[in-house]
Amino acid sequence: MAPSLTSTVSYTDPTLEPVVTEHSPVRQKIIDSQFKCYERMNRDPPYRKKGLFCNRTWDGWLCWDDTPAGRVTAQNCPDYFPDFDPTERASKYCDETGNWFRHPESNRTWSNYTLCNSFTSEKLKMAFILYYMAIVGHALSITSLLISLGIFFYFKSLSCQRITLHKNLFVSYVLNSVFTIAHLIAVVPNPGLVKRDPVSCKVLQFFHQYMLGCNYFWMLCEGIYLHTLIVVAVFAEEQRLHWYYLLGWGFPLVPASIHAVARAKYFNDNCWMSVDTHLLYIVHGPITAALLVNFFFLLNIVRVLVTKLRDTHRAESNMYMKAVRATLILVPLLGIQFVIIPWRPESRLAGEIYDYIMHILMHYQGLLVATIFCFFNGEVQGALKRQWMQYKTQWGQRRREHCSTRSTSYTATSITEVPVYLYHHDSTNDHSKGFHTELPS
Amino acid sequence: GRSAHCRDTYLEWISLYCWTTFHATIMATPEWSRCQWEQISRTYSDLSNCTVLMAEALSCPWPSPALDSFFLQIHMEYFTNCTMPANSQPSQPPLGPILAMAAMPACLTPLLVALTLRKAREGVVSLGLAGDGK
Repeated sequence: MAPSLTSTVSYTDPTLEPVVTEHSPVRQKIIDSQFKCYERMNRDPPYRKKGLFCNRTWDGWLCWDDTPAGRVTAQNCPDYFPDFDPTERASKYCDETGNWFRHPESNRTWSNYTLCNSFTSEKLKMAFILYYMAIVGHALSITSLLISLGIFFYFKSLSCQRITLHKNLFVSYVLNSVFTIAHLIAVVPNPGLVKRDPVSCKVLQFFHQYMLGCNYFWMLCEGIYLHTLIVVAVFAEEQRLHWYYLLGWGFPLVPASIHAVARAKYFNDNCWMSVDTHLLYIVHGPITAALLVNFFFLLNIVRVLVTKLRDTHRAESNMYMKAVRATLILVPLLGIQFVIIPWRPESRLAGEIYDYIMHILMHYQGLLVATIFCFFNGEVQGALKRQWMQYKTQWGQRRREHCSTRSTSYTATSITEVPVYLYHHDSTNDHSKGFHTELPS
Repeated sequence: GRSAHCRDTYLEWISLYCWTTFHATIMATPEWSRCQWEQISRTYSDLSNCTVLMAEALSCPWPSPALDSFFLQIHMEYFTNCTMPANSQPSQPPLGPILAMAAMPACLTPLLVALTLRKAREGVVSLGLAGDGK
């Protein structure tokens, strides 16, 4: 009677398939595990606790230790088969008499591997969705950030020190997205490359970690700038920016380099792809510190604006509140992913929702930053509106010059637009730019 | 009964047929290579396959406690002086150095922030307070 892989009640029977003479990689993996199991069984000390227990055993796929009677023991599923998910758990029950659980149908000892392949197809589908979401997110981020940078560089009237800091922040986000997309497209779907493990993919990871640090440290620089501007120097405009550049571009090299050295020395897996290591705290620790410091700075600024400056500089403090509001929204949004990362919910549906939210928070950050700092900025919107009006009147004039045979109604419309523009008072101006009042020109 | 059959007869058969071949092959390999997994994996795999065939022939379950005891004996006899085959997954490094390496830049961060603040403040003071924004 040949042992089979599945029984009629869809319990997975872990006895091996009929002996194959060629040594497939799957069988080789299983033999490897078998050898390691018996070695471990040999070398581990004998069971010392009181009471009945089930003896350590090899069940054909996994190794099971001595287990007290009446207990269910579990471990991660093996990765022998493509539809086995190593993040799921396989379990084995040791009954009260000190014997391993026997399957009622076959009366053989039986381990529960049903969870290993029951959700795999759905999980695979979701993994693909998340993968494409990540790529789309970073592509959108790059696009919106480049548009914002174009706006900031084109409109010279907008430029001031705060915008200079924004430009640096946007450049770091663009570079981060570029490295992430390179990693997602070139490395992740390419197991051959991961197996070859060239130095280039480790260098890519190093720059990826460096850029991640730069993102958060430039947010910190924004917070420090606002703090110096409002709390320390009371609306003084010009500061020396050299130290901001050092903190934003220079310091993140330190945790990235330490991580690279430690990874090469202690956990040199292929392409440094594994996220299953505590060494990542080397990079995430300073980032969390930067987020916390930033958050406290911003709270302090809000406190000063609300209490001390309210009476003396009411108009200005309103202006500054609007400036701070943008940064105050962004810092928790960027930081929350680090706070909730350890708390993935256990249940299936909640876990999926959690994954989607985390992916949106992580991969659409550039888009969020560009939107909040640029597209929602009143100054920028005003500058764009003025430019648009200019183009419209210029275009209208040119058409009137070239198309003199057009109907008079069209001409009348374009003429009446000009006076409307001249009298248009941009009262929605945010004044968050250089804290100078901008009169419509 | 049946369980005795699947224990005693089974052990007899595999000792007679499977172990003899295994022993001969192992003794034929040079002694320094008997601990190298790449050399002996084929022989070990053949031994394992042989035990599966014997279990099939005797209509006994595979694996079984009898098989466990057989393989434990094999390992005690041939592989006690060997080091374990290398793990494919690198092991976790010691926690102490990791904490130190993570704490260092994390503690440097607030110091650097304070330094930046002070340098920015000095810069503003040296340029003179510009007064209110207009």
